[in-house]
Amino acid sequence: MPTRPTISKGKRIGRWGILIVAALVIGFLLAVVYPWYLSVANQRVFRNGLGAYQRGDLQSLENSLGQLNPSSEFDAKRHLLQGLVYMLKRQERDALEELGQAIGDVDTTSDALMYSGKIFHFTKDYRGAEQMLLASINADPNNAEAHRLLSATYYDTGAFDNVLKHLARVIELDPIDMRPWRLRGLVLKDFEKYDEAVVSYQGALERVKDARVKEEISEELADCLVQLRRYEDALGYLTGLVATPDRKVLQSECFQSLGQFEDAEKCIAEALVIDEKNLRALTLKASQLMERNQLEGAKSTLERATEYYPFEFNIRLLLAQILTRMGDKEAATVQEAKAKELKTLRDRFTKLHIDSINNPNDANLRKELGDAAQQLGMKDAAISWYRAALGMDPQNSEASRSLAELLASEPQKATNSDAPSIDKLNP
Amino acid sequence: MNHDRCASKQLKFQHAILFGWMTLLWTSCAERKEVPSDPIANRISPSESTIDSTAQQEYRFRFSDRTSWLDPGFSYRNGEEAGLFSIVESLGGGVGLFDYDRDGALDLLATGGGKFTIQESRGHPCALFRNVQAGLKDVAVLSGLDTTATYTHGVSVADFDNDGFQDLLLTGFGGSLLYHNLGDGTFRDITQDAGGPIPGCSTSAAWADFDGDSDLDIYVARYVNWSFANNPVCTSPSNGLRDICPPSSFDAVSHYLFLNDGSGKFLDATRESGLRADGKGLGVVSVDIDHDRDLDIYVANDTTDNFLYINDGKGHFAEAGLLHGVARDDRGLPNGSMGVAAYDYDNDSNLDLWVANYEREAFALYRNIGEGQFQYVSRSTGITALGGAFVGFGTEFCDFDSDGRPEIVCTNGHVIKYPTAAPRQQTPILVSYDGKRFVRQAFPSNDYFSTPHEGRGLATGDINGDGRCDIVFSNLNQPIRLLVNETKPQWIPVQLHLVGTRSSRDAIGASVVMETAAGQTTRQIVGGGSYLSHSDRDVWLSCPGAEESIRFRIYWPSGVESLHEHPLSMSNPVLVLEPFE
Repeated sequence: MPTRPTISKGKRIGRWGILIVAALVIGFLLAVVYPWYLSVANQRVFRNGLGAYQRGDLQSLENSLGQLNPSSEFDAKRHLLQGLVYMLKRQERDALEELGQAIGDVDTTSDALMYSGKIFHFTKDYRGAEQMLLASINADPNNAEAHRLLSATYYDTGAFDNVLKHLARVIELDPIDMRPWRLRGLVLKDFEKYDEAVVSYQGALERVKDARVKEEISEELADCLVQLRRYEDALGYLTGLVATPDRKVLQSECFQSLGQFEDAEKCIAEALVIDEKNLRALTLKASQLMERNQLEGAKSTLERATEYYPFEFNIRLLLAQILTRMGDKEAATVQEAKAKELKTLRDRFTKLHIDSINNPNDANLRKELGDAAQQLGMKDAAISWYRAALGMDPQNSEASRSLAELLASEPQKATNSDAPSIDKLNP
Repeated sequence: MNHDRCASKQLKFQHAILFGWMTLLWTSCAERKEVPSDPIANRISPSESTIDSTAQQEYRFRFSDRTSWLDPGFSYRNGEEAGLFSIVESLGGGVGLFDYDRDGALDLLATGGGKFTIQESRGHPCALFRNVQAGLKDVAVLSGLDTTATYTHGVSVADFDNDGFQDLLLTGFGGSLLYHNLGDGTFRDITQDAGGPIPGCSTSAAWADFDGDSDLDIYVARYVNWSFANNPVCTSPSNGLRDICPPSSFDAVSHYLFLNDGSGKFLDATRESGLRADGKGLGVVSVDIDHDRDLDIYVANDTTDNFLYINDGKGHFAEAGLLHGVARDDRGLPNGSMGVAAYDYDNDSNLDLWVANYEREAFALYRNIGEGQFQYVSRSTGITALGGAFVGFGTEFCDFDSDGRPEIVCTNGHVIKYPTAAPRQQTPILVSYDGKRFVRQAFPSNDYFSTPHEGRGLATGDINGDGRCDIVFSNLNQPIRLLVNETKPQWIPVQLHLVGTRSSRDAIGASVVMETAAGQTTRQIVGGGSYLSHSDRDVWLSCPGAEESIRFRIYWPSGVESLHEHPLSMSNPVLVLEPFE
């Protein structure tokens, strides 16, 4: 039987070698891989925490916070998640303190500033929100959420050029997100840039998943198409949607413009069954009755409308015309004067609105807008504008007083702090 | 062409019409001529001409571009090369179709515009094209209309001194000009003698006998208070470059009403007549909207409420646009209104109002439902379905195919240099009424109606005497264009030329009511209309042809009524003289 001495010698060498290699591997694992593994695991926990916040899932967020490694290396992430916990608990002050401690770490600075900006936005401190969000973008120019929130802040303060600028960045950074497309459509629609708004809304429709939101966007898009007199296209988007008064009114306008008068009247009747106070439905119904010279019906429709909407100039103007036709010139003159007065107020409101766009940091303008909105019976808008003024200038005593008086007269509005833009961003 | 058959006219007088007077007073019938400059047009009758039968069936209306008849061609110049970005530049110019030399053929006046230097404006000479055998020859120099005194916009035509010759008002920036037609082919500037020029920026004007004294007075619209000292810098939102400021950058200026005292003087009755002090006026038409035999005034204002002045018969007016439903659109908003026309489109005997508006605003059709009350019907008549991409200017009603239902023609073009919602150059449109709705008509791809222009002024009239309504367009810094109507008439067109005797000679405000087997048709001679332009005032009727003759009644502004019967075999135009009693 042949001997194999080299093998036994080799076994001896291999054993030592294995031990040395094992020691090296263990050392390597301890020195490099484990921290890497720890970091990856904590990143995952951190991301889970952020995801839980996005879903509004406090329990999961707190679980994530508990799972984060307690070492000082993860302090910033822990503070950030703790800040988010406080945000979900509506403890804004505590949230800001925690988020403040997350600033400085390269991984969390931009988000910490962004979430701080979000708190300022929700608390109507628009100047604070703008500063935080701009700092967030400065720390990470690709922070899509910061651009999104900043556009919402600018929307609420009437700085629409800035809104469009930051929405464009959101669209670049997050091409599958529907919300910036929709908000851009809304802003462009407000500016009467209907062609561009249509493109934006179509972009939103391509990305939207939620069926209810899809219907809302279709309606907004159809409204733009009606403004562009593309009635058949508008009807295409309106067909099959859940019936609402506004959608029925849009359909009615389309049908009437296309010469389908019976369908037009039917839609108006359906709109008023759903909501007997719908302003556009009442106005259209009155116009249709006027065209058929059914003056009594038109008159009673408009009188009802003036009760519901005492600040709407057009229904008073139509009423004045009906009264003139019916020979009641005295009453017609009264309604005409009221219509003119309201139109003047509306024109002033529009002008202030444009001025506010050109002066994005003018608190006094926002206060004036609040006053004008109040004179037009637009209390929600007045509250928003007073808050915008105070967000820019917390010392603006006139805005503060006006807001307090308005909230005192409308106590239920005090709790309604969500801005319209946030509704659009978080459908 | 049937003008050469005028001598054979045998019109019957039913009441006080003395037909002999017609030929005495209107000596030009035998001279009415067709413009023969296009050799092809001379060889082939319009209905047989050049396009193939398939194409002819495809397109209901056919217009041939006969701009080459103009010798030489002519363009309105707005002086934009000075770089002032003045809102005045955006207004453009008008055209007038009228027979200034009484030879029976319509002549053409085109305002010239002007140019700017640092602190002053100068006029670009107007063109007066005399309709002669060889075409339309520019005789502005010979006629004395080659003035450069004013940066001109509009032309308004009337025989204000009842001497049988059409006189002229030229509006514009820096002073209007009033010209008296001397009857020998020349005009004399009588601006100073008549009361002086209208200051500022005058635009459209409408003649009518507002105070019932049988001579023609005039309403002159003015625009805004732009001046060299008031020329703000505005920038385009699309590219940040300087652009023409919107009308909201300027204040409105008062319009003027001048009463003719019968001796060649025009007295400023603006205040006494009750006119408002505002209004950014661009279009105006004088029309009897309530059948009370006096002339009311409708004014198209840019971005502010349109005015409806109701006349009390003595030249005193009450503005009632809002209450009568013609000041705004169906949203209760004032529109950027430019051109205007009045016509009974639905044959209910009431004259309706039509307004060409700015982009995204539907053109406005206000249906007269009686007693001067109006209903906005743009939506239900298909007008809004035309789209919101047009900035409309010159516009007129005319029954281009003589089927008894009107068409509306409108020329379009943007006012700013960098528009975003609609192009600067736009196609004109022609819409046809089908008894319920107006439907836009299609044209071949190379047709004038299919190619974009910076349209402004527009006038209609039968320029080649073939019994069909032709169109002249004035474009901004582009040649004026002459489109000759070659659409096959469906019914028999009847052209009436009314001459007032107790009323003013131009018979503005006279209503013609025709009864045929197809129903009743009402037409009225209106003052002004379109945009900065003057269309021929002859009344056009379309007869089904079931009868041998037509009967029509005329309600003259003087209060006289006359009944007429006219054999359909007779040639156009038919002269009708107002009875003396």
